[in-house]
Amino acid sequence: MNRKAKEALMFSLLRGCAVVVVLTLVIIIGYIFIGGIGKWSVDFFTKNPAPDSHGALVMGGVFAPLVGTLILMVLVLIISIPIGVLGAIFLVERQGKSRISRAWWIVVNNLAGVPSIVWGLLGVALLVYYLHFGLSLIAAAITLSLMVLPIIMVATKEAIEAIPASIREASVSLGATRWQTVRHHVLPYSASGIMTGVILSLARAGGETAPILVTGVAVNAGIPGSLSDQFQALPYYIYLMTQTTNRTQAYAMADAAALLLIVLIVGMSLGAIILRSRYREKYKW
Amino acid sequence: MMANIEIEKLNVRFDANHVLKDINIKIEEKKITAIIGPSGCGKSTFIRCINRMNDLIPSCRVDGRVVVDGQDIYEKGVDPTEVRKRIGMVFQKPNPFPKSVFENVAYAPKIHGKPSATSADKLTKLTRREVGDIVEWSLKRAALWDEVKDRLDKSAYSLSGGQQQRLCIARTLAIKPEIILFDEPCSALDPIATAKIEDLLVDLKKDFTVVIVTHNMQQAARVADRTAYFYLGELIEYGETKQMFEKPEKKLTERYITGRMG
Amino acid sequence: MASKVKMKRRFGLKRVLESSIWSTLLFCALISVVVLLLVFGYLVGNAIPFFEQISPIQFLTGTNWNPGVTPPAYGVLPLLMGTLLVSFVGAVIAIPIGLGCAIYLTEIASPRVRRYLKPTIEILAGVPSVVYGLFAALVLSDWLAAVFHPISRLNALNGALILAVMMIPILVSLAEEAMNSVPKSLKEASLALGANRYETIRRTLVPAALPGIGAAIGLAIGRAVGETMAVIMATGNATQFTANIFSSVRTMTAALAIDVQETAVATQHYYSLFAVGLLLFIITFAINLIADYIMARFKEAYQ
Repeated sequence: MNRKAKEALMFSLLRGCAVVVVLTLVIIIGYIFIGGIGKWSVDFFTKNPAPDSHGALVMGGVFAPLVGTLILMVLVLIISIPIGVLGAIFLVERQGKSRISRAWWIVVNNLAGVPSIVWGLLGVALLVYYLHFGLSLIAAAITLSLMVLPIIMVATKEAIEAIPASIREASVSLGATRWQTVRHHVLPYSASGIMTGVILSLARAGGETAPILVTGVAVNAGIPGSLSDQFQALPYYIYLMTQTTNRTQAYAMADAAALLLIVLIVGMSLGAIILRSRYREKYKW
Repeated sequence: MMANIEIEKLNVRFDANHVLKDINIKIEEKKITAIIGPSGCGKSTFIRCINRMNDLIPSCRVDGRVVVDGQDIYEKGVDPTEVRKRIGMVFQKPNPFPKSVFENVAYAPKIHGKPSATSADKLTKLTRREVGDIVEWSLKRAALWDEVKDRLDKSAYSLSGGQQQRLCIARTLAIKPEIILFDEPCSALDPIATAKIEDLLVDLKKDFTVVIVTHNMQQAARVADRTAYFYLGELIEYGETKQMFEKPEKKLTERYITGRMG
Repeated sequence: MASKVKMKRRFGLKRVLESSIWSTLLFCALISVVVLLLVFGYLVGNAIPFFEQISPIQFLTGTNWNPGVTPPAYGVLPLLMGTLLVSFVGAVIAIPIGLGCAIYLTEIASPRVRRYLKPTIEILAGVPSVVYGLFAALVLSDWLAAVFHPISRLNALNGALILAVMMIPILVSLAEEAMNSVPKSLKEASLALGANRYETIRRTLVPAALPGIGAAIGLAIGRAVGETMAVIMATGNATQFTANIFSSVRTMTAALAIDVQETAVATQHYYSLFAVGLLLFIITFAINLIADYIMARFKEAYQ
């Protein structure tokens, strides 16, 4: 066939690929939405999971799992932000481009790719057993914090390094100390970039199942009263619903919970992305 | 004539690269001294030694003495931030902070404070009025006040290139330095903005010692009282501008000035 | 401000405050360093007791994984096979579609389409894995069963397909970045020589972006190898050493998640899981390292 026809054919194929991708999203989200929206009700959001006649926790609502997920995210926020953000600031500002620093960032970058279950294993060995936290909220929260620590550090580093050297030079040439330069210039200008990284990390932590599966989530837990209690979480709830026998009820609840989780997590991710593009608009170096 | 900056046996190396070789020069108070020379001759490195900006580069090693007002600023125990409060710098490309015009100029006074009433060694914060006064004074001295007085709270980036550079000058003036270093301040500006800054420099020398690096010989001829010619890291010739341009002593200088080289 | 005061170092409260701020930051940095190195330390530390009793050769070449019976079998090949099967079949499906979509996005799509397509990809990337697993378990498996009549409803193909869906967003965004980094001048040169847009893409753009695309593929596969929930829910989790994509398989990640919950601490079974975890860690670390290296070389070439 001639060149023009070939081009047209290939372009159609390529367009087809994009269509497939969009279709996939439409089908999956559509299925979740249709299957789950019916179950969304006030009760769904405010009642805890309750057993049906066979004892399977497929009735009631997702209050405890939802609260559990939110508490986890708050804990991860508290634990990983100071260490991740402040640590990264130190490494970028004081260590700069030294050999140690470059090696360290290679390590951090790759730790961001470690499978979540491996973090779960670490959590089990270190937190559940060695430190005797047992299967608990705190063990799960720390495990998730460890998992997102590399992501937060890399995001902070990139936000800081995006600030041109000329701005730092200007500050230093006016007699500012290193900390004054960081406090009055580096931090304010990189704040949105850092926040984007933080929100994306929290979204990631909230959506993960494997690490909490092995460090403390439990099927019959209620709202945790203390850090050493076990807890429920939305992702785990969804998984559980696929393992029961009461199919019709369970599957519908799973879809409904999945819809809620998507709204929560994807909402956060999209929010972070919008924040990032607004930030790029503001600082047109 | 009192010498304000005396530089003795200054040698600067970046790792194995010997960039400045045995520089000896006395820069005079309240005059404009121009540093000229072809690209790569070490002019920027030289000027950055005076306010210890080269400290920011880990691979940079400075040997020799830079004596300002009787104090060698490279002596052990000297705080570089104190040095930079007395020696200001304006860079090649205007680099205002992404803040308002007012905040740009107010930044340095705010973080430095002023000597307290009780003890000259302690520092207290400035009042809002004092900050405002300093900002106004600095902008007037930098010949920018009339153009920005109605938009002090607008972003510095809304100014033109030439205005941004004068803003950077105002920002430096706000620390009330004794010496101001200019590293090719006009190379990113159009001729009209350049002319305004050159006029400003001549005005500034009434109160400040000015050292300006420039790759534009005509600029040096226009504004400088004394000129130093650098070539490949060495100080070739230093003297009264008029004499340097009309009757240079060294062959190398003559070749550069007549355009046969560089 | 500038008085004729000597420029000596001040030892005031301000200095002490500043030093303590940097000390705090240093402390945070040290915590992060220590903590992150713990991962490797714990994996190795807990795998060693296992390897003292079972030889690595036996571990790496045994085709039977059954720690629950007596005598227990610790051959990791079934699990490794499970992981490779779903990841690579998934990659084979995801790569053409992902690259095709990326090319469409960068070169062919109009700005209006691009404005809707890009967020779609971002949303796909943000969906939690358990939701994908849900879809695979409840819907995709039934569709596959209707078409292929497999031995087992939950099988490797199911897992491979859902992993493909999860890999596509990574592939698309990284491949897009790679292609956008190719200098415009290259494309313009090709067009100026009379090539049409497709030929330019095929013969100039894609080859130029190949290292970045390669790195994208590597990272996507790394993600697939490390995925846990989606495969647990999709593949059936039967431990068997097979290359049949229609049979149920158990991946390394699934084995870890399932077994850890039921194993008592400090038993041989417990340590064996760390051996599997170590192997998994090494594989993903190696893939990421290689992908990073390719990316770094690639960035150098165009900088």
